[in-house]
Formats: sequence, structure tokens, C-alpha cells
Amino acid sequence: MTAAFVFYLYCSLKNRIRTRVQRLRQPRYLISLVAGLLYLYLVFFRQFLSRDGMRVLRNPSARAEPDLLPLMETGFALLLFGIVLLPWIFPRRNPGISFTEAEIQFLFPAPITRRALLHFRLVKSQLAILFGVLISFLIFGRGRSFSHPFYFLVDLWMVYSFLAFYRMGTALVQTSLAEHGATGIRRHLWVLVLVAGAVFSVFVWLRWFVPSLPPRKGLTPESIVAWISELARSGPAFYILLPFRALVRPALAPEPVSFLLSLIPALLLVLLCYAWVLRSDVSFEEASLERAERMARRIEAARKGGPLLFAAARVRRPPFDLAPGGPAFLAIFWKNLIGAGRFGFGRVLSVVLIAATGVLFSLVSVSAPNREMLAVVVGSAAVGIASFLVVFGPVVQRDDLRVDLQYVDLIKTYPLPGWAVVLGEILTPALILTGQQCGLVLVALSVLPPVDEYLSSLYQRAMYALGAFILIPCLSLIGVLIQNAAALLVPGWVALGKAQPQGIEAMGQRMITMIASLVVLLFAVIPGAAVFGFAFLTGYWLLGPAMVPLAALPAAAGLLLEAAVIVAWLGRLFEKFDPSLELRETD
Amino acid sequence: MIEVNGLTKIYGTYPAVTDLSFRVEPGEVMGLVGPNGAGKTTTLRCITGIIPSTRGEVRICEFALRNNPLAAKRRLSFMPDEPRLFDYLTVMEHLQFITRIYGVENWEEKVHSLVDELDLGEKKDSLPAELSRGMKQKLVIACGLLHSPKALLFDEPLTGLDPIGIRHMKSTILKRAAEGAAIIVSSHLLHLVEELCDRILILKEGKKIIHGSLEEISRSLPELRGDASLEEIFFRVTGHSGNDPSAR
Repeated sequence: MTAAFVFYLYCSLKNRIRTRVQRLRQPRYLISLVAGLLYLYLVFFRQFLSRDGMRVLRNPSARAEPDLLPLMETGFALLLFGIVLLPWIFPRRNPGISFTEAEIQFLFPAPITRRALLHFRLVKSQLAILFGVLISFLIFGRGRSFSHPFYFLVDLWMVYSFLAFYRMGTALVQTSLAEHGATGIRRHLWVLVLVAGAVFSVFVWLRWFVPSLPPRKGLTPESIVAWISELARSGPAFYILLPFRALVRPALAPEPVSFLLSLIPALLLVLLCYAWVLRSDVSFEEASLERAERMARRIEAARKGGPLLFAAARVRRPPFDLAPGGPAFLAIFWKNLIGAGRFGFGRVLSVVLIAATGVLFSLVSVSAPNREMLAVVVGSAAVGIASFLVVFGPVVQRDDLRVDLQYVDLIKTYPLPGWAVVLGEILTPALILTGQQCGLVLVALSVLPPVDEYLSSLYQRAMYALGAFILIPCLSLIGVLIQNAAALLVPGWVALGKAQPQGIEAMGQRMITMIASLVVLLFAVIPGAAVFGFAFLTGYWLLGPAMVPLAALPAAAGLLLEAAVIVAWLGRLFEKFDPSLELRETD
Repeated sequence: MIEVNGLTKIYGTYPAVTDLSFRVEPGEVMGLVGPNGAGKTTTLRCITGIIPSTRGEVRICEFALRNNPLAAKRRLSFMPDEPRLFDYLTVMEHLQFITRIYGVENWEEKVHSLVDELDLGEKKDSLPAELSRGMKQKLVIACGLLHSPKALLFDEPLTGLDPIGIRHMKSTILKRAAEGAAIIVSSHLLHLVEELCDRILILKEGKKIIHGSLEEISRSLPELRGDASLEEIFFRVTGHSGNDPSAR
């Protein structure tokens, strides 16, 4: 039986790789792969392959920060302990073991023992674990935190395997408890005793053993580190954290011998967990079936361009009543607003109120010297996020043609001119982005302290806000139009639907389209910016801050004209759009 | 009325449909049949304006799809084989949406009549994810009929329907034909086509092989009996033996 499982896993992996390689015959995938690899090299591999990186590999001790190692061991052990306790504090009803629909169809009725099935699933999970290990290694294995990249890599695999097996075991036990009640409790008594013991120990520790914080005046980084170390050694914490320390120790080992010695207890823990899952005599078939069907529905929804549903879809209140008569593009706008699902007036109001209350509370509660600092931090963050949204918001907000091109067969049968379809499609993301950015500008202008003569009066702030409110909708429209133009011109380069494709080529593709969009956006706003700059500089000496909204008006008019031209052009493109040619691959 | 003249669609160098011409008169139901890859779906997608044809002309109620697409599409309705619905719109919201898109007059009356006719009343506030395949199909039909189209195109209309749904679908098609709509039904279910359609067009490799009523077609094929079934005709004209391999 093992041979059959190995054959299945081997063929699946081989064919998956072969499909990916075959795709590289298409230039866009090849270019995207090159871009993705280049990115990985520049961000992750360059350091490893540099002279300094090689020196570190040859001389591991040059890499580690010895003073930090005990603190890191404690920190990671505490983190692991928290992760391990989490499923018992917030239990979730899932089978723990998941099979695909095909596996259920072929393997469940086959003459295979349940233990063999479990064994197969555990081995199969290693593929995902190894991929996760590789990604984590690339992201976290760069700095000088760990003694040796290889030790870190091996330990990552052990920690991830331990957690994966533990998650499966916990879910199986919880399923059994839910299904069998008292019998389930008797069957898994030792597990429950261990969990209860851990919870009780935490209570005892918190109640009687937590050392007092260092005095506020003598608070230094060293004193905090010392306090954390003492905290982890106090009372039952020392014993509770022992297995978790053992799990993280190999990554922090300073030299090969201690690494090998530290491997033994860590590996033992992983094997114990593996054996625990394998010996769990729990019914998982029904729950697996339910989960596989749910997953198949999600994948189908994502393929059709719908959202990747991780919760049951809810009926959303329409943002406004759609009258039966009137411009038809408003119907598409209305539909997309419902799809975006963020636009109940009550929800927007509550978010604004919560944010405003939070900011006000923070400003009032902190002491006077810190208040200005907090205002600068909040205001700068708001400006930063608003600027980020101007550039990247249109990439993220996708409730437009990027989703609806998946329904192009349907939309093309509607008796609408192309420009009406495009206009209806772009309004939703543009409106959402406008709302978000205007809110952020309002926050920034409300809290930022005066700088020299700027922001010194309410009048000034109001003028700046007015200028921003005039320009932001136009910028959002242009940004969203550029993304939609890309979807119509080069649909093969843009991810259609809400689900994002994975893989190095997909990452490269996203980077290329992102850079191209940024360049186009830059050129698109240059005329508007020039008009604004010229009007502002010539009129400011006469009208002062009032010139901000006044200069924004011709700039906005220019941008709107630009947007109108692009909408008309995209409308013609949409009318000529041939899904049988453009979307053949996604069909 | 649906009129197709010299319709040709070429993908790259591959001709999916070549020089296809036919007419479907008001009140007529035409069956479009052919083996897999014959070009049936491509033909339907060209007629509905989903994909542009390479050559040829399509007219819906005298309006040329190329020159006057909006007027043509206002009189047209296409029911694809796979019901395509918007995930976050309820049944009623779908109908509201279509009402606005097509500018339907007396919409309330029409919506209620269709909801009753297609038994959608209990599910009017449900999302597509909560509907069965048959109910989704019914919603697609309701959306398609809301603007009282004069030309209807059905692609595999019985796929996934239960016996009750099949009966509903057949009566819907015949009712619209009786009201004067020109209808094209594309299907592999030859008995359905035989039962519903006045005329039949058989496509093979993108070309029209034969077109006419069952009687006319039978008469044009002297080697077949006068009362030959569509299945016999189909296998004869497409060059397949039609023998049951298990019978050997």
C-alpha cells in the first residue's frame, strides 16, 4: 500500500512541476519567472551568496549574537506554548485531517486501514510543511539572529512538523470528545489531564510566581531582558516551557556538537506527536468529506471569479434602492457595491465613530508632552496610508472589470454601450478609495500640530481639506482606470477574479504589472499636477490657503477630462473584447 | 427573427465556424446539433455578440448586431449551459438588476409573474450559493425572460435539471415560441431537439451539413426511411456509425 501512496505523491508532484515548466513556453510566464527569481535573489539570496554571507556559513559563530540567544529561546518557547494552548482555548470544529474529494472517492472505499490513511495524510502534509519551511527560511533566516542557516532550516522543519501533527491530533481529540461525550473523555483522559495540568500551572504561575516589573525609573532594555528571563524561569514556567525550549534549541545551537545533541529531544517530541495522531482511533471520514466538499465549492467559486469564500456568503443590504428606470451603468455600480460588501451606511458610520473616539481618547488620556508626539504619529500615519492608497489602493480594490471579466459572457449580452459598462465597473473601487482617503486626510488635518505657519488655523485646515476632497476622487478614478485598462488590454497579465494566483511566476507578473501601472499613473497625473502647481504658485500670494481648493478645481477638471477620454476608449476596447481569444487560458 | 448570413469565426488559423447562414422565423424553434467541437457554442456566442465574428452578418429582429448592437441585444436573450450568477446578489436583486439594465417597463408585474411561473418565490431572498442547480437555472431563465425577448438562445437547456425542471423548461420554451419568439436550442439530447424543434440545423467541423424540418431532411436522404429519427439522421450525416460498441 505504501508503494501506491508514494506513487501517487510522486506523480502528483512531478506533474505539478511539469505543468508549471510547460507554462514557461509562454513568454509572459517566462518573463514573470525571471522577474520573480530576480526579486528573490535581490531580497533573499544575495545576502547568502555574498562574501559576507559565505564567511558566516564557514564560521557560524560570527553570525550569532550570543547575548540574545537565551532571550530568543525563551521568547520562541513562550510563543510555541501559546500556540499549543490556543486550540484548547478557542476550539474549532474541524476534522484536523483533510482529504481531497478525489482521495475520498478512491481511498475511503478502498481496502486500506484507517491507520494507513492517517499515515498517508501525515506524510502528504510534509509537502506543504517543506514549502512553508523554505519560505520562512528565506524570510527569517537572513539576519544575524541564528547561529547557522542549516541549524535554523532543520529546526524550522521540526517545529512546523510538530505543530502540524499537534493540530491534527488536537482536532481529532476534540472531534471525538464532541461525538462520544463521556466515552471520548475516558478514551483521551491522559490528553485532557495534560491540558488541565498546563492550564492550572499557568494559573499558579500568574497568581504567585510572576516577578514584579523593574521600577519605572530604572527601565532599560537590559532590565527588561533580565525580567523576561526571570519570568520564564519562575515557578512552574520553567517546567512548562521545557519541551518548547527543547524544540527551538537546535536553531540556536552555537556549534555542531550541541546542535546534534539538541536534535535528540526535539526529534523525540515530533515523533511522539506523530505517534499520538497515528494512534488516535477517531472517526474522521465524515468531517473530511464535509470539508473536502466545502473546499471544492470555494475553489469553484474562486475559479468563477467570485470571492474565495471562507465563511458562508451573507445577504448584504443593498447600499441604495435601485430604481427600475434611469442610467443603466448605475445598476453595475449598485451590483459591485453589494459585492464589495463594505458599504452599509451604518458600518461606515460605526468605523468612523470608533476611529474618532480612539483618536480623541488617546489624545486626551496621554500626558501633555506625549500628546503632541502621539498627534504627530497618528497624523503622519494617516497621511502615509492615504498616500499609499493613492498608489496601491487601485491594485487592491478589485470590484470592477478585474472581477467581472469572469462574467464577460453575461455582461456582453447586455444592451449597454461599452463606456457605460466601464463607467459602472470603475465607480465602486473609486468610491471606496475616495472614502478611505478622505477619511484619512480628515484624521490627519484634525490631529497634526502646526508646522511653522502651516496648519496654524482652522481656516487653513479647512482649505487644505477642501483641496484634498476635490482632488482625491479624480486621482482614485485615474488609478482604477489604469488597472481596468490593463485588464482589458493584457488580461493574461492581470489576475482576474478576487483570488490571487500563487507561485514565483505569479509574483513576477504582479511586480511587472505593478511597476508598469505606477509609471502610467505617474504620467497620467503629471498634467493635473502641473496645472495645480502653476495655479497654486501664481495665486497663493494673493489668496493664501484659499488657493489650495481653487487650484485643485482646474487640476480636477483636467483629470476628469482625462478620465472621460479613458472611459470612452476602454468602452470601445470592451466592445471589441473577444473572450474566446483573450481569456482562453482562464476558460 | 434571427437571421445569420455567412457567419465565419476563425481562432488564429482554426476555422471554428465557416460561412454559416440560416433564418429562424418568429414562433419557430430551431435545433442546433452537432458532435463535440462542431461550433455550436461559438455560433451562439457570435449571435449574442459575446464574441465578434470574423466575417458575416447577424440580424436580430432586423437590427444588425454589428451596426446596431444595443437595439439587437435589447431583443435578445441567451441562456448558457452553465448558470452564471453574481455571488452576492439575491434572487430578487438579480431581477432588479436586469430590470434596470434592460429598462423593463411594468417590471413589478413581470417579476412577480415570472417568480410565480418558475417557483422562485420561496427563494427570493437567497444567494446563488444557497440555490440548487435547478433553481439557479430557473433564475437565469427568469432574468432572460424579464425583458420579453423576441429572440431566445438556449445552450444545453436541460443540463442538470430534474424531471420537474425538464418539464418546466420545455413548457417555457414552447410558451415563448407560441408568443412569437424566435428560438434556437443547442443540445446533444437529440430526443429533446426532435420533440421541441420545428427545424433542425446540423453542424460538423463548423460547417452546415443539413438544415430543415425533420421531414424535409428525411426526404433529402433517400437511403433513410421516411420516418427516420433525428438520431438516425444525425449519425448518417455526421459520418458516425452509431453502433453500440457493447453490442459487439
